[in-house]
Amino acid sequence: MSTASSSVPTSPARGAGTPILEVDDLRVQFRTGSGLVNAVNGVSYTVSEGETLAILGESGSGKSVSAQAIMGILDTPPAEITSGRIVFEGRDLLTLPEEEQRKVRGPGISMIFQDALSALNPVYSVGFQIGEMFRAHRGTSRKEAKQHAVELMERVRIPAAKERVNDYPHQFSGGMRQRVMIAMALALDPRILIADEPTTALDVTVQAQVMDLLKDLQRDTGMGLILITHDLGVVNEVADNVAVMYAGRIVERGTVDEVFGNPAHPYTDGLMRSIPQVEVKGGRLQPIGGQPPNLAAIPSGCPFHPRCPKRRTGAQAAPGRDCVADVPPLRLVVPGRQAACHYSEEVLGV
Amino acid sequence: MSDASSGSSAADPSAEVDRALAEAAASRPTHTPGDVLLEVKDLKKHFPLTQGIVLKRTVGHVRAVDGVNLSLRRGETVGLVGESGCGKSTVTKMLVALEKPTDGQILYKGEDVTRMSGRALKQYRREVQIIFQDPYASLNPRMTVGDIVAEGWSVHADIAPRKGRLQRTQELMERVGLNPDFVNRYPHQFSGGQRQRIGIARALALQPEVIVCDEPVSALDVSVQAQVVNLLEDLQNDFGLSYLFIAHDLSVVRHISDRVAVMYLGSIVEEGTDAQVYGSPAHPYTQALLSSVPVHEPHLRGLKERILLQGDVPSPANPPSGCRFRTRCWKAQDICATEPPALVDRGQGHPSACHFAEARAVVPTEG
Amino acid sequence: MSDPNLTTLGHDEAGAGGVTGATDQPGGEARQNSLWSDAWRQLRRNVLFWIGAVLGLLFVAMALLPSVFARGVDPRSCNLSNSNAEPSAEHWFGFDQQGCDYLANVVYGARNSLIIGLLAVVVILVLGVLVGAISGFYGGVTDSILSRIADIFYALPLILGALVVLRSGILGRGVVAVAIALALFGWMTAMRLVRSQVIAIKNSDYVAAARAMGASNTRILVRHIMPNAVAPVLVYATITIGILIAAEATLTFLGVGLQPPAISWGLQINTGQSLLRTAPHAVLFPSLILTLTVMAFVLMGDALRDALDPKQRS
Repeated sequence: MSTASSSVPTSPARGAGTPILEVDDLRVQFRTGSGLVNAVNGVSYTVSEGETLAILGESGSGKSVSAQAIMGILDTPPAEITSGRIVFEGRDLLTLPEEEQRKVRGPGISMIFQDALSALNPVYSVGFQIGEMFRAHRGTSRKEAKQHAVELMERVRIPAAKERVNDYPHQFSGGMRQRVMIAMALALDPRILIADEPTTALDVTVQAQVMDLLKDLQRDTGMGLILITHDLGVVNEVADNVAVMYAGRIVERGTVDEVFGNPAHPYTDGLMRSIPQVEVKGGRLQPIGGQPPNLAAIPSGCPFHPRCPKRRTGAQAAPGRDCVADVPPLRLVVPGRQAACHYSEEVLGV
Repeated sequence: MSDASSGSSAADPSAEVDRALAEAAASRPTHTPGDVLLEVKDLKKHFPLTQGIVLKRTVGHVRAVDGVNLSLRRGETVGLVGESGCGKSTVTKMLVALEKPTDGQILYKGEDVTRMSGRALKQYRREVQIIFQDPYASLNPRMTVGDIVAEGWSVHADIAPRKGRLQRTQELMERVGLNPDFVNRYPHQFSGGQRQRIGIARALALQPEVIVCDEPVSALDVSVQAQVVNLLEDLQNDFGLSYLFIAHDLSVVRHISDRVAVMYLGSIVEEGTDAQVYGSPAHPYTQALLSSVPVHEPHLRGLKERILLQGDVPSPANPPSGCRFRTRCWKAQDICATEPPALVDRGQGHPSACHFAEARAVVPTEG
Repeated sequence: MSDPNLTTLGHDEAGAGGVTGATDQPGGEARQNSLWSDAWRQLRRNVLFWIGAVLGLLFVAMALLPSVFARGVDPRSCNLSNSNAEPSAEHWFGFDQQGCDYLANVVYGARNSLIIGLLAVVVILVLGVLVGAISGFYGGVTDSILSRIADIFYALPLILGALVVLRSGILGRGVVAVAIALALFGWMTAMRLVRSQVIAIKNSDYVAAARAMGASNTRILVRHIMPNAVAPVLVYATITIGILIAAEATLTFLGVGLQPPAISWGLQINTGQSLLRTAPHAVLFPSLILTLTVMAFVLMGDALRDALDPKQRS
């Protein structure tokens, strides 16, 4: 039993490596029966080698849709990428023909999902499914593929990998299935791994194991990790940088230490205040009022304004910075920190 | 929310003061622990494992709940935490009489619920209500909000006379923070948080004494969870409710509970006040659980002792002998395999079910 | 949550039709809507529903008052010299092989065909919903027995089963006999649909919630399970009407359905088939009317299903 005390805080690795993936002004719309739904409205970020970028947001914030756009797994229609660039290792994926896109993405970018059980095919053994990656992309033989599968299962710390390689997905526990997914994602040595709520369905003790594994694997391979989650605790423990999303936009971006330590956007601030801590009993919670936005009818101006305690409008607002009328751009507030709020300086207290 | 002083933030020293002030303001008259309302004694639920389609034969039992003791006093909140498969949902179902226990007693005001039937059971079901985890699945999609909230009055007609029901429905909606004009809307027209409020209003309509909250906020967005937690606290103060609060989120449980019980594989391994269980956990499982909770404050990161458990929870169909946690425990000795540890105080000031119980501070304290 | 159109609905007093007790009350300004009153309000605004309803009523009127629609012509006064004559201004649908006015024949056929289609479908619905609900709700041995019985009926094809029953003569040979014979071998799919729905809904949280507040089985079935379980069956039933009317034709072809001088669309389509080359109108007109009838019920069924699903409402 390991009782390790990890006293080394994650160092802000911002800009440490070379950028691998660049998302620029991505916009995604859904055509539904009840009208146009603007799921992603101009999202930009870069992920560098060895960096862990957390994309933090609640349901409907567009965090998963933007990732699906990168992976090219959006259902089109109803979804449509209306503008933007997704540049992977110097090539804009969106301008490439579909066949080319697949060739670039297949080995370069992998993704793991929240629900590992439905992401795995129940009628094939896990070994076969992991090996499939090698057969499909590298044309390795069946025997060799299985060999690789066992190695990968060992790498993601599945005990008794040799014996379990022929087991089927339902024979694994939730945590082990997520490991199988990670093994499949790592098969082709991706440069970018997108983890969409990888531990949400898992218990906390298993979550800790899986997050530890992801961190170690990233250190070994130097891949960029995009961690999509709604869990502030996971972001704080694992990520270097964080982009907070709300109503399809990034509202704040910076290192985790800075963003969580001293939020520049009222939404981030509200999130930090609204969750209880395990360390202290604490007093009454301070929730964010109102309800998450309806993406079919995003509020005018700053989408957060109906719920914002710092909202200024009419005579109170500075010219061109009316929260109800003017959309706040994502701007540099202090070095290394961007926020989309007209009054970030006030929120920060600088 | 609006009283948050502007310009401050979590890391400022001033924010710390703010928080302390808020704490002081929020220290409402602590509910005086009243008489015991609900008492669970050695509760067991074993589901038979069967084989065959026509001629079913029992090949074993899943011991979902295997000897749980709990008590809930008037006006108190007891938190029940545990990971998936530990049996906490089965306990919930038995408490609201949706499942019959295999063995043991559920005493409500001294009467055994498992022996109740007819009128007595109906009365029990009025006084003990439940709030479900999934606000999408727990509301009938083809009933209006008004019908959902008022349904209990059709079953227990004595609570509300037919005449003023609509008005009372709207009052209830207002009380839980819903616009009473929406009484004719359907559940799908509401967000998750609002739906959970509908579920709360439905439970309140029966004027219950006890509400069993089965993961009431875990399906909600982070920004909405706090709203619902605050609402539950307010309602408790206003109506003198008692809550059994079942959740896997340790932070929320600590926040809302007066006492906490930790469950592992069908039985309770540790019990005490929130300060005892969180501040000086004695059972290795509680310690591991607490150490796994990710903290969201950057300045607390890395301060916590990390205890990474190996492996998964064993199957309740074939639990380990002796102490059920021994297969994942770093303290396990021979005795753990032979003798199941009793849930007793071993000198830590609160009961825990470990032969080698030892208080240990796992989570860092603020400041 | 700020769209105002729903709050105004609360003042739309008319049309609730007193469907539930709640609406019967003189509630003043505010009113408690129910699923059925909301559904009716939704139906009234659905154009497709009205098209279906008007068509349906037209055919029902045709069945009730055939002489009006046949322009006073007797379908049985025939003149062989007109055999298979094509439609004309005087005789819109032309003549059949026997030289009878075809319009009158098609119109007079409505009664038998509609009785068979509607009666059979009602029996199917009653049997299917009842057996399916009991089977799904109580489960266990009850479910096993009822499901096996359904399987036995499944093993016999619709036509073959009906043929055997009609041949045996237990029910006689009239319109009602044909309808019941068809229903007897056609209820299983409805039963399976209802059963699977009931099983799914029975285990839902909202049924658990109702149970936890002490609701009786009857209440749970009527208020929670049935409204959610019947929607797919309604659609199935509307489509089945057409199948049943057509099945009657097949029975006739096999010599056990209605026999001349009875008049039905099934008979007409059946006889017309052999004349497809020489007199296509003999098949065309009854088929057309049959299609329109089925369409009328499908439109109404679709509209009803949507109206009963709050999520489908705008």
